[in-house]
This record gives sequence, C-alpha cells and structure tokens, in this order.
Amino acid sequence: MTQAGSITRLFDFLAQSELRLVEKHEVYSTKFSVLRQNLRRMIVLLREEGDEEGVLLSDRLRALLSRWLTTPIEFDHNLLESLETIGAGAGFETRWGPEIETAYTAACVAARELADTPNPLREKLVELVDGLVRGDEDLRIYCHRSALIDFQFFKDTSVGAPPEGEIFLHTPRDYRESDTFDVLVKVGPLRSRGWGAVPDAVLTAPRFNKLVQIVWTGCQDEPDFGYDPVNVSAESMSWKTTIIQTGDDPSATDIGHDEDDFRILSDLGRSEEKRRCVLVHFGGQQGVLYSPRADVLSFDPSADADPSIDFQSPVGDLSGGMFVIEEHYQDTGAVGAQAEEGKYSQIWKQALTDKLLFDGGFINKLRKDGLDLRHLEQSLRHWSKSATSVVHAPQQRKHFEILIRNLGIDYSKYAFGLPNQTPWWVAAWNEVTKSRGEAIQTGMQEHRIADARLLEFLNKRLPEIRREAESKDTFYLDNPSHDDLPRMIVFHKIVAIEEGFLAPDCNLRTICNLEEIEQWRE
Amino acid sequence: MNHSELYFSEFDGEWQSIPEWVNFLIRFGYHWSEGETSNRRIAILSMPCPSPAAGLITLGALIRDLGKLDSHDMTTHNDSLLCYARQYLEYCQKCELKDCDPTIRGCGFNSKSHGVIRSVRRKNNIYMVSEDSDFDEKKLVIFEKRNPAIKTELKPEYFKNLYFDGQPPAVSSSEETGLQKSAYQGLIEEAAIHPDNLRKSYSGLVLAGRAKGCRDTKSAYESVYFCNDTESYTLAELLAIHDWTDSEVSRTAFFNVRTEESDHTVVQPKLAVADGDASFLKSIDVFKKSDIIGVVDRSQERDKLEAIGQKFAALKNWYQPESEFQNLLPAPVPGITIAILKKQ
Repeated sequence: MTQAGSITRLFDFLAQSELRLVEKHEVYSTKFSVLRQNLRRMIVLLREEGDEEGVLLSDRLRALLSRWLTTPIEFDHNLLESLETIGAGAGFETRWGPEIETAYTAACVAARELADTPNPLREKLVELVDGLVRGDEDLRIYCHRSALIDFQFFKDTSVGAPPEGEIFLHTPRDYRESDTFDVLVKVGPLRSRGWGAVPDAVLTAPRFNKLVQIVWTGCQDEPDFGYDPVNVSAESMSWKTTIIQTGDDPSATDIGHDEDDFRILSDLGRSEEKRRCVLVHFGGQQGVLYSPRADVLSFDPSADADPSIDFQSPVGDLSGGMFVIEEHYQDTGAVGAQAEEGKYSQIWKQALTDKLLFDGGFINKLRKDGLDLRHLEQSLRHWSKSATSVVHAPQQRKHFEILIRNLGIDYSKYAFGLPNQTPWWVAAWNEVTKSRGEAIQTGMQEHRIADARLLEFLNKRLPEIRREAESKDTFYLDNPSHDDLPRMIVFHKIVAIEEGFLAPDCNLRTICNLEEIEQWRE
Repeated sequence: MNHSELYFSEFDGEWQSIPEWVNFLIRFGYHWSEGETSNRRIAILSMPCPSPAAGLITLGALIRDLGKLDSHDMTTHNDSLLCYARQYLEYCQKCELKDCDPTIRGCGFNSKSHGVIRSVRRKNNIYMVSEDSDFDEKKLVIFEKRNPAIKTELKPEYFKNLYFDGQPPAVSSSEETGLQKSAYQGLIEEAAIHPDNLRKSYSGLVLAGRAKGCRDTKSAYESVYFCNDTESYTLAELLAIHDWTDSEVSRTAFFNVRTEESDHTVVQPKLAVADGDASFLKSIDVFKKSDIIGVVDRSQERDKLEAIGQKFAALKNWYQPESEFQNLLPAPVPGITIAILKKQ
C-alpha cells in the first residue's frame, strides 16, 4: 500500500462504518450433490486403503473436488473427463474393490447428467456481479490466479470484460495493496489456506463494506477464520451475515443434507511425508515450490535493494517483480547431467507403479535380466514410493540400470534438455545419488565458499543483469569458463508468492507447470 | 509552535492535520515509560495494513526520553571509550585473523576495535590509541595518524569530545549540530524537553528494523513527513538514528534484524520497538531484559500471524495481561488492536 495518503484513507474508512455485511448465497444442486458425495466417499475410502497409490489417488481427487467447490466451473464434458483420467479401466475394480468402484460409477453418472446443464452457482455469480456493476458498485473478486479461467463469463454478460488487474485480487499482497472499494465477491467458504484461501484480513481489516459470498450448501467457513494474533478482532470489527438459499429444494430429494467437504477432507489429514511450502509463481503458467525457510538465490532490480543479489526467504523477502536465480550445472561425458531434484524419479516411479499394478510378468522379467534380489517384490514396492528427502531406489547402479531398462519409459518425452550423449538412466541415477548425499562432496563451510563465489560472479555482471531485467521476464546468463560455477544461470521474474501448499520434498525447488503444482494445494 | 500548526503527509500525499492514527501511535510510545516497573513488558500492536507504526511509536518514546535528565550516554561514555581503546591494544591489534570473526577467535567481543578515535571538534583528523595508555590509571594517550610522533595524554573531562570510529559522538559539537526542539515539541505539546538532551546521544531506545534490512526500513520512514510553517522533516530524520540524519546526535539505536547487528554499541536498552513479525520474534530473544513493543501487519499470510500468536500464547506462562497502561492512552483508533503482557 504505497499510494499517496492510503493509510489514512484506510483508517478513515474503518472508522466510518461500525457494521459491515456478509451476504452469503448458499446454492444447492441435487445432481452436483450426488457427484460431491461420491467423490468424497472415494477420497475417504482410498485414503483408508493406506497404501501409497491409494493416498496419491485420494489426493488427486481431493484437489479436483476442492477446485469444483471453490470456482465457478462450467458443467460440461470436462467434469466426466476429469474423473476418467484418474485411472478408470479394466483393472480399476480389481485394484480398489467394489465399494470404490460403485462410488466411481455413481460419480460418473452424475457428471454425465450434469454435462451441458447450467451450473447454478455460476449463474448466481453472474447475476450478482451483473447487478453490482449495473448498480455502479466498485467491486473486486478474490480468486486464485489459476482459477481465472473459470471467471471468463464476463465477456458474455452486460458487464463486458473488465481488465483483469482492476477487478481480480489473487494474493494477500494484492489485497493489502488495494485501495478501499464497495464489495468483495468470493466463491467458496472463507478459509485461510489451500483452495479458495483468502487472507484473514478480509474480516479483520476490511477494505470494503459488503462481502458477497457464493458457496455450495454444506461448505462452512473455517471456524477460526479472521485470526488476529492480538486476538480481539471480534470486538474490533462487527459483521452481520445474511444467508440466502438458492437452487434446487434439498427437502425434495432423499440424498440428505450436504456435509462440509472441507472439514471432512481436513480431518483426513495428509500423507505424513509432505511438508508445508510456498509457491513462487512465474509468468507463463510456471512456478516453483519452496520450503518457507529455504534460502533462495534471487535478484531484486529495485534501486533501493541492498544487496541486489542475495539468498532470500520466500516468505517475507521475495516479492513480485524480483527474480529467482536458477543454476544449471550441465556436465557432459561420463558423469552425466546433474538432475534437478525429483524430475526423473517422478517419471520412473510412476512407470514402476503402473508395472506393479498391471504387468504380472514384470518381476520375472527383472530376475531374468539380473535384478535377482531375495525380496524383490517388497523392494519394488518400496522403490515405487514417492521420494521424500531421499529417492528410494536400488542400492547398486547396475540394478538401477536394469530396472529402468525394463520400465519401457519413452525417454524422448522426458529429456529435460539432457545432452545427447548422456543416457536417461544415468541422469536418473545421479538424482538418486544426489539425494543420498553422495554427491555432496563438500562440507557446509565449502558450500558457503561456493555461494560466496557465485555471488561474486553475479555481482560482477550486475550491470548486464540489470539491463536484461528491464525488458525481459526470463533471461539467461552464460558462464563459458570451466570453473566450478554453473554453466548457465536463468533468471525468472516473480509474478506472485502464494502460501498454502503441502508437497513431498522431491517436488520442491523444481520449476514446473502450475497445473502440476495445483495438486499440492493444501 | 502548537499541535494544530503541524502537518502530516504520507507517500507524497497532500499535507493534512496529523491524523488520529498517527497521533495515537506517537502517544503510545510517549506514554509507554509511565507504566514502567521493574517487570518487563511486551506489547503487540496489530495494524490493518503495512505502516510506519513502529517508527511513530519510537518517535513518541524518543520525545519522552528527551525530557528525562538521565537519558543520555554521558555516564558510561568514558568507560566505553577506555574499553574500546583497551580492546584494540590488548586484543584486536594482535589478532591474526584477516577478517574479524569473534566466533572463530573466541575472544568474546562483538566486533573489532580499530583503535581509531575521532573528535567532534576536529572532524577531519584521525587519531589512534597509543601504547602509552594506562587503563588501570584511566589514562588515555592518542596520536594523530599522520603524525605519530606527537602524542597527547587526555584528561577524563575531555573524553566527552571524543568518540570511537563508527559510533555517534556522546555530545554534539554545537547546538546547531544537535537536534532541533521545534521538530519534536509540536508532536507532543505537553512534553517537557530537556535542552541538554538535544545535544547528547542515548542508547536506551532501539528500533529493530524490518526483516529486509536497514534500507527498506529507512525508505519506508522517508515517505512520512511532518512540517510546520518553516520546516519539514521525514520520520527517518526525526528518529535521530546515526547515519539517517545530519545531526551528530543519535537518540535511537538501529538494530538490523537481518544481520543481527546494531548501528552502535547497545547492551540492553530500556525499550526496543520492533517493526514486523520477524523483527518482533527476534527482538524478544535478543533484548531479553528490555521492554518490547512489536508492530505487526495482520493483512499478512496466516502462517506469519500464527507464529506471532503462538509466541504470545507461550509468553503467557510467565507474563500476565496488563490493562492499566491502556487507560493512559487516547481513545483507541478503529483498526488498531493491542495486547500487552507484563512479567509476573
């Protein structure tokens, strides 16, 4: 918030009104409730299965349901397609049992019936926004950047297509830098983390007079939403809530009341090997997850940054407009490319999981090929587990090579810019050894020296970096000398920082598409 | 000058009368010491947006200190100077480390003594501590760096004109290079400012800056202005932090949370005002015997708010809520929430 007089304006605004309003529209749809209930059932049952694949599948469904509950999606063929991609097929019932299969079938039927019918929540949203715009209200819509696509209904309404920057708020920072306005529109319950999260300040430091909230029935606000560490927020801000019900009549069906999916999902918990992390969002639908306390090498182009290049924490220090600096150590020859964490393991572990599920002769094939361990099946299941701080894999390099060779991976799809002469399995093995610490040949002190050398190198080229940063969102810096420094350094401009993710260690520090990252939203 | 003649501006906005929120925060800092007892107090102010609130509270506390006869460093100055000189001759001069690192050396000091002494009366001259000094006899001998042959033995009564390199002088060379009373009096009309203090430095008040460091904090405070008919000052200037102002006098020590270093030697201040969540959490541990006032912005992400909330909840095992102090303050401003704890 750096506009002239803005802090005083906010205090004046807060002093003006003693009572603020929440207009909550609860939408009910019988068919959507059937879809929700069955999806929820699958999530719970898969989670209870307890094995790695069950948990992974449960998490994917959970992300799907969370998105449907917090964004105004269109009811079209995508509903069914999203369900089908989770792995329906010949082996589905055998693998997961009849109860999950029944829930899955019922969910698919509901999705098919919903396709190409209007989404009542979306219709209500359009109606409300239309009315607010006609009434000349200054409104903002709070949604995740990745959910923007579901808000493209503006072009079909009398509202027209407002410039994105003027109406949408995506992050707590966007909210706290906005001036005061009339109405905030929010789809989904008020939650401080995860899908549909909004800052607590929406209730404790409102910059608007009225909150228009549109939710599916059953979805409740987080009980402690509106948290203030001083803990007297309830006394300082007063809210009056009006609930308006809309859509089908719940009493006319026999499927029962909708439950609070978010509470149920939250009670389920997550797999233990995930850690809380922060999304650093780049342009072009790319981003990277970091642990909140990570040291991230970054460049701040602002004139008052001191120093401009330094290791910063993603929470608090990094912000939009700064650049994340990515180092590439591309070795050639026998050593192979040094992999970024988790890239290769994700591919071969998924292939291994598929083989264990669907290829009955896989274990015999491995034995014949020379991977003849006593507890091979047990070991294979262990190796197929998602990587944590260590990538679980065979102890011996030759065994790893046999395993990868028999997985039948189409390497051309997952080359990750490997030099031609480096075999894919070598790069994947490097990743394994790196995770085990074998690649760390130096102690902490030498790491510090390496960091200092890298900072010195970058600072020497600061004028060049500044020039590039003025006009580009992504740019490269070559290091042609054959020293221990990275061969190539890539600068990625930060669009936003977003908290509220839980991901396995191996998915941290790896730049990937936002779509892929969405699955780790808390 | 009276209160009504003073104007305020933020981020180059229009000049306006001092807003209530600014007045409240300055007065919060001003009145803080009235609730002082031997028990440590810790306060959190939760603001609805990012703001220079910590700087304004510090300014209020600074104005209060200007009215206290004993709020200056003169009583400890001579000893500090002798300690600095002794550290140089007995340790730092002989140290073999190229880059000073007290942790590796295990010497127990916080930073290096270069043995460089400066005088407020001869600003361009550089003096060095001489081996002829006798610290047991409180005898300090110095020589000019460009003319080592001529040595001068200094009597303790002249020590006040000297200060060691990098530190603010204990007393300014003239009234002009001290602080200007008019700049402060208008903010708290009833403040009884002691004129001598406008020329003396003080290390009992600390501002713990924002997590991003000194420049970020200074830049935020430079966007806040006060003026009357003839003069205008930024909040950064009024805080009288060494290096932030043209004045020779330092009335606020700056603690850099990022580097964990103060801009000059501070042992345990009476009050540390912390700007931001990270700064508050750090200050509680660093200034263990000082009162702490933390200012947090509650429009931040939940994780940060919970870290503060958890710390505050943990403190309640040894501290109890303090409500009497709030009676001394003007009516609370909507949007600012306050919690204060006092050690049991």
